[in-house]
Amino acid sequence: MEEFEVPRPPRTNYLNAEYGVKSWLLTKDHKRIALLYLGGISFFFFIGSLYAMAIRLELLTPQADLTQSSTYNKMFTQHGIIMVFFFLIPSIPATLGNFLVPMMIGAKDLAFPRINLLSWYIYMLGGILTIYALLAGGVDTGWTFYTPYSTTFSNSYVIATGLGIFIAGFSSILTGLNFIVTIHTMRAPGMTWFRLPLFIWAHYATSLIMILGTPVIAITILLVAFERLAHIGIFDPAAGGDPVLFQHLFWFYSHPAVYIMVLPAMGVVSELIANFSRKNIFGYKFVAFSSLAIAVFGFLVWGHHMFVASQSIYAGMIFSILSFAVAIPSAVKVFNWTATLHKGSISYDTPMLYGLGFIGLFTIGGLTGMFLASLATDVHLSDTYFIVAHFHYIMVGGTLLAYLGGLHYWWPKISGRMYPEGWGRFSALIVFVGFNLTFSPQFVLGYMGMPRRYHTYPADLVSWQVLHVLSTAGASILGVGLLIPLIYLIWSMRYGRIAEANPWHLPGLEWQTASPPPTQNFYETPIVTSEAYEFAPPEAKEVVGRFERQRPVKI
Amino acid sequence: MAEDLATTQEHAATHSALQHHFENMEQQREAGTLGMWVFLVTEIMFFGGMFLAYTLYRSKYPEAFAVASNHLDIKLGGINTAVLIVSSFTMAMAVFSTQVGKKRNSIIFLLMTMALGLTFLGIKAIEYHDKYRDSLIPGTLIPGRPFNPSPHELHLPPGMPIGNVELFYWIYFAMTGMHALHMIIGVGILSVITILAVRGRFSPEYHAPVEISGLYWHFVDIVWIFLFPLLYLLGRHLAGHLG
Amino acid sequence: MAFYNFPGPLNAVVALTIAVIKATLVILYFMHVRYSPRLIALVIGAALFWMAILFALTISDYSTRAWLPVS
Ligand code: HEM
Ligand SMILES: [Cu+2]
Repeated sequence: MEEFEVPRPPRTNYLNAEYGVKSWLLTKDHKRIALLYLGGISFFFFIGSLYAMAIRLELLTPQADLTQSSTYNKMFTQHGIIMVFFFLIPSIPATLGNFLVPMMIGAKDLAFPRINLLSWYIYMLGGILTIYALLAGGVDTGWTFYTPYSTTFSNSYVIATGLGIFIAGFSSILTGLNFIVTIHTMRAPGMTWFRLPLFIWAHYATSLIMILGTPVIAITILLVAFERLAHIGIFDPAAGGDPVLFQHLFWFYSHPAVYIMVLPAMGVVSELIANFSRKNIFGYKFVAFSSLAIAVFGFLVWGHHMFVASQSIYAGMIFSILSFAVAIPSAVKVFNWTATLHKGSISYDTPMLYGLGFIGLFTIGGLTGMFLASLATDVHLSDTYFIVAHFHYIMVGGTLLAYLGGLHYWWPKISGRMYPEGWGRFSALIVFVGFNLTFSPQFVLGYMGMPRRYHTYPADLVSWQVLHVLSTAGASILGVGLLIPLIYLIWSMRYGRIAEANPWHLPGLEWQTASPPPTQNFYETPIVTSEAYEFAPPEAKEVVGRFERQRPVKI
Repeated sequence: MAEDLATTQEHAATHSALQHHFENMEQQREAGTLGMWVFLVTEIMFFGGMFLAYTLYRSKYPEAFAVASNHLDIKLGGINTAVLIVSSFTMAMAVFSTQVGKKRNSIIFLLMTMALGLTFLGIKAIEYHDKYRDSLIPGTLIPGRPFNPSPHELHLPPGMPIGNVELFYWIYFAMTGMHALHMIIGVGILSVITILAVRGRFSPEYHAPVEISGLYWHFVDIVWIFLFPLLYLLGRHLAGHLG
Repeated sequence: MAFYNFPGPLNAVVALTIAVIKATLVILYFMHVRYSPRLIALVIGAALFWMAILFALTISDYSTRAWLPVS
């Protein structure tokens, strides 16, 4: 026992600096706000997952056994709305980003702490309004709210839900604004742009999309609400309006929004790959600039959602070509991650397993995106399960896996405790298997012609049912794989092994302060003297800031 | 571990308005200004969606838009343009006076700016009321008074669908309504700033809030600079050809 | 300044040009962009650039719809 200095958490940290509900609800500490978001997001993820399970159960058999078509319409709509607007979009930025952006650049907080807290309240308000709409009767328009169905024909709670999303959009705008200003003005001395961790670059790019795209969806939703309320005619062909204009405005935001979901995930994965290979990332600048390139190019491709929506064929060609272009920066990242692994000393801890899973699944999702971006193939695949599989490979296989990976990776910093590594790896494996079993059959289903958003299919097509059964089985496995971390992460908050300041022995700034960090993050403003991911031998490394160096404990 | 807490001391000495997470006043001011500019970007994109709708429908229905536009009160619109530009000037003067420490002047200019803003809103209200009188408020936005103008008063050429005129009025109300909402918020912000100025909170060392509110005010002015020609003027020349 | 009235379609161009000039003056002088860091100009540039994207690509659809008659 004498041999090791027992790692002891610092006496005051951000978690125990103040006590009581009020100290949480009125906090201006970005780390506490991150935890508030974590709570909210987990709640919405849980609700969204319930809908998903219901959808998968209904599709187990060709008949409509559980729901009528009108109920089914509401189920997939509400699944989509909750998952997209209340889980995926805020997921990584609002939790991990909120927690880590100031820590990684050596700042005490985000530039506007009060606005940060406000953004959480706005998010919750939007969420509660949406939940109210769901309880009051639900929406059945699909998460895309296409006109004129949403404006003229749907008899569901379109306005209330739209308002919920409208409000939540402002929380996204405020988060993006805060990140941009923070990254520009609050970097620690010596933290130049090209010393920033790639997580920061990714969040910077994400924030750009948030502030440039979100206002457009805000005004679009307002227009839909007014059209519905007062029959103004702007999307109504009978009055000379054009319903396709809605799709332009909607996808101008919503395609870039898919990058709001995946860019932060790419940032997490860059951290995981470099750090768990103990190597500097291959081609730092390429990875950094590819984030910005995605933010820009992501705005040029929205028309690929409208190939079969009476968009001009010439515009379709332009959008098709541009969609191929946007794959380039994504591919750059994949190549650079893979190159980073080469000759690295890789350790397969839970976060890294998620990181590696991300690379494979994101690649599949991206490549199938190419199929869809080709005009002719898309005519066949549009509105089939192929689409569903495509975006779930990116949103679940990509974003969700990276989110879980990041959560495990930074859990010691966030909670001050280690999660149980064995359970971690086990559940990562289950998630991976369950995910693939759920969604790979959907590619085949879609290719064979199963349309999306239907709750029945021909009973004589046995192969369809087999694939649907596989998919539902996979979803159950995935569900178990997600429940396990939920349980052990909560368990570890109390019973987990106490974490050291730097349990992974990494150079990043966030690891150079205590776990959990003090309210002001660093005991002294750190001075940065090295590049990101600089894995020098520990003796040679300068200690940044002032923190008692602990002897490494063998894990 | 007492030293844990003794960290933020070193900059406590600088200025009472310095928030704890900033290193110095310069950084705080920079962050505030950049924050407002980034916010204005979101505003531009927000209005951008409506400008886009305007552009598309105007090019689709030029005659109807001209007819509808000609029914707007160009005099009131013109006066309002002048009012807003002058208010931008007084706002700039308020910022300048604060920067050089002339507290009295800055309060006077702030009050003038607000008065001009309220004048704008008053004139806008008169215009809205005229439209209400002529049943030009689109759709069923006002229950009990749906869009139902007299074709004769509009000088509507025979055969032109009234629905296209309604589209114009919808865009008119959406854009000017959003703009008016921003004006109201602007006046609200300025009243807070004025109160703070009266209490002597600003000085040549610390005036960022005045500047930042000024940026917002100027932005709202710029939106109107575009709304006025687009809504009130662009159809003029076409009116003669129809008839 | 509100009562200019050029005849013909020039009216539109003239009116908008004047609006752009007025706005530029407000931005440069009232909003101090002339004397601010380049970053601020970049921020404004980004907003205009993204507006241009929104307009250009949407119009690319509307302006070419009639080229190929939809059956
Ligand atoms: C590599 C770049 C990508 C390309 C070229 C691409 C291409 C496409 C295309 C062409 C469609 C429309 C198919 C149709 O409706 O017929 C589509 C749908 C979709 N994609 Fe992607 N995609 C890419 C990346 C992503 C990413 C990163 C995400 C999410 C994080 C994503 C999420 C979606 C979603 C949600 C839909 C379906 C939207 C709906 O109609 O409900 N895609 N994709
Ligand atoms: Cu897309």
